[in-house]
Amino acid sequence: MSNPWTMKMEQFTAFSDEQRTRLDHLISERQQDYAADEDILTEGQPISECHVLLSGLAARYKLLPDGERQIMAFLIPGDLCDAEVFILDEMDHSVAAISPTKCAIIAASTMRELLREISPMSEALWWGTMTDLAVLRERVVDLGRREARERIAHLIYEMLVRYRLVGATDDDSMPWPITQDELADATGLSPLHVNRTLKQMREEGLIDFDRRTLNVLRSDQLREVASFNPNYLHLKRTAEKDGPVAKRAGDLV
Amino acid sequence: MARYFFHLQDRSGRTEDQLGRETADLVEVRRRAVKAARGIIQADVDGGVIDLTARIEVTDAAGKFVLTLPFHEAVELITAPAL
Repeated sequence: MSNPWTMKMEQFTAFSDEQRTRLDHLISERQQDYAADEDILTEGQPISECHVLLSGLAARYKLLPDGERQIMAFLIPGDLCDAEVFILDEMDHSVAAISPTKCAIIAASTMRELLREISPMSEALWWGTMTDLAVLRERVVDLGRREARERIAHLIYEMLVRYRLVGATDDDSMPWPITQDELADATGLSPLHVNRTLKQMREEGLIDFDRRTLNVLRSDQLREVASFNPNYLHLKRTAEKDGPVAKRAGDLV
Repeated sequence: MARYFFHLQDRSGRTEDQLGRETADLVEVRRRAVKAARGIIQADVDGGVIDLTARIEVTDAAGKFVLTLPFHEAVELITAPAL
């Protein structure tokens, strides 16, 4: 089975065997484990290497002077923590592991070489960065315009689609180590409000929780509550029904 | 720091907080409860409802009630212009 990084970028382009081997090699040279709540990257720290999430879950966040935290993005396997490595000197925000997380560490020089080429791989890397930014734009829409219920439904539905794409699940359940506090920090709501909204969604039979797993019971209804439009994920090969890749999340989008 | 649990009692029933939150002291407990109440009132207004009959009940790790915050205490209600 492919690594999640390859699986994510495969949505953009079909890689040759040689390219797959190269991607596998890139993520196997150095790996590091992080405990839950441990920072993978800390604001102010110089950016010298690239971190690709291989397993677990992480959050991109900023701490405010009063100790409040805003989570801007949840990073799942296949996501790049620090695409800034090529241009920026230091981190302007932090990334922390939410559950035990493993990252591949790739030297900045290696990534620079890769991006200097004009190849399907460099284009796929750009595609990944651009779609990550599109996911971030959805959070802006969340905070500005979506109501609490729609906001949470949207996030859950999006996570399910993203988990499916990288093969972390193949049905309507997904790993969910995210606590009410973390979901509150991501949605700008109080934990109490998050709790009430999740309770309502459970009572309506939209979702349920089983330990650290979230089951989406009625994906079509959840999609409607979320007013979810998958266009921002740019799932090119799914849209073109191009190979088995297209089937991973095909029924959800 | 101690762990406190913020439960909500409102028109839809009771929402239990099973996880709780580390909170510095009772002043901070109240600040958090007021902020949460205001956030919920705000979201309800978006849906065309103001429900001040709800309340937040906070318990400590032993299950003892340490604070009850009726929603009407979380906001100042002005329904007539001041003379």
